[in-house]
Amino acid sequence: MTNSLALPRGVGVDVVAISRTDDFYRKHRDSLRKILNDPELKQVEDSGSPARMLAYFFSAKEAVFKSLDQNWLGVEGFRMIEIGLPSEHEMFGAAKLSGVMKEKAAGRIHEWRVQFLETDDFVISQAIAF
Amino acid sequence: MEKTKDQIFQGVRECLVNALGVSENQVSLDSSLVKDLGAESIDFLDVVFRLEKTFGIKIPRGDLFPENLLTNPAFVKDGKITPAGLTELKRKLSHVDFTQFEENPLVSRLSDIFTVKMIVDYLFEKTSVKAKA
Repeated sequence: MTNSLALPRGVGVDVVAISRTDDFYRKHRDSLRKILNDPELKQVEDSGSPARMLAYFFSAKEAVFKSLDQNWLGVEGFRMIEIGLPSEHEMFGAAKLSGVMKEKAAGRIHEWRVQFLETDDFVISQAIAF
Repeated sequence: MEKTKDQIFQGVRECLVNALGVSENQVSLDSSLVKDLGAESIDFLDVVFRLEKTFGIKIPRGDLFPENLLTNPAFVKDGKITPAGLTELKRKLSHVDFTQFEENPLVSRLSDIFTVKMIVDYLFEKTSVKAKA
């Protein structure tokens, strides 16, 4: 667990419209494994509202990505960030990196806290890197 | 069979129209994906997936868009791409015309280089290699 006095090393925010991920899901359902990890993909497919779940994952990945202050890493970059959504009683979700993304954060960032807000058609994610 | 640049442009335009919800006449070779066509990150994914399907190719990481550049202090200084950064960009993105960007190489203007022409040139190069193989 992060020390409460630790200073954030980066902050990223992203907003995604669920209507946009709905369109994306319908058109590219067969390509989702290129951007989602297996547990994420399972959560999307098992969800009663896959587009909404996809909006959570997509915006969280983008937020974590922005907190690293990186430019676009292509399609594979999304798969290098694995998001753990918060359970019903938790305030924050988490992120785990792999590949090049992990190398970029090594020795600098040890933990992410990801917070979500859903309003109307939008999912807003805020990632704080410690 | 090798595709002409015009045939590639038609395919790219169709992808962009469907992915971004823009009209055909909004898409020209000079259109910037971000500035003129309003593309955001989810749109880039959508466009890449559509291009891969339409042209039967795989677009690897960093092939179409630059990576590992903005965080290198040798390549970025005071919000601008340094001469060394420009050289690196040209090396990585040989299909891109940097003439206009070089006049004022602000990092904030980097997305301007993502034009329709850049995609067409990249795909022309990629599909030519595939056709010859």
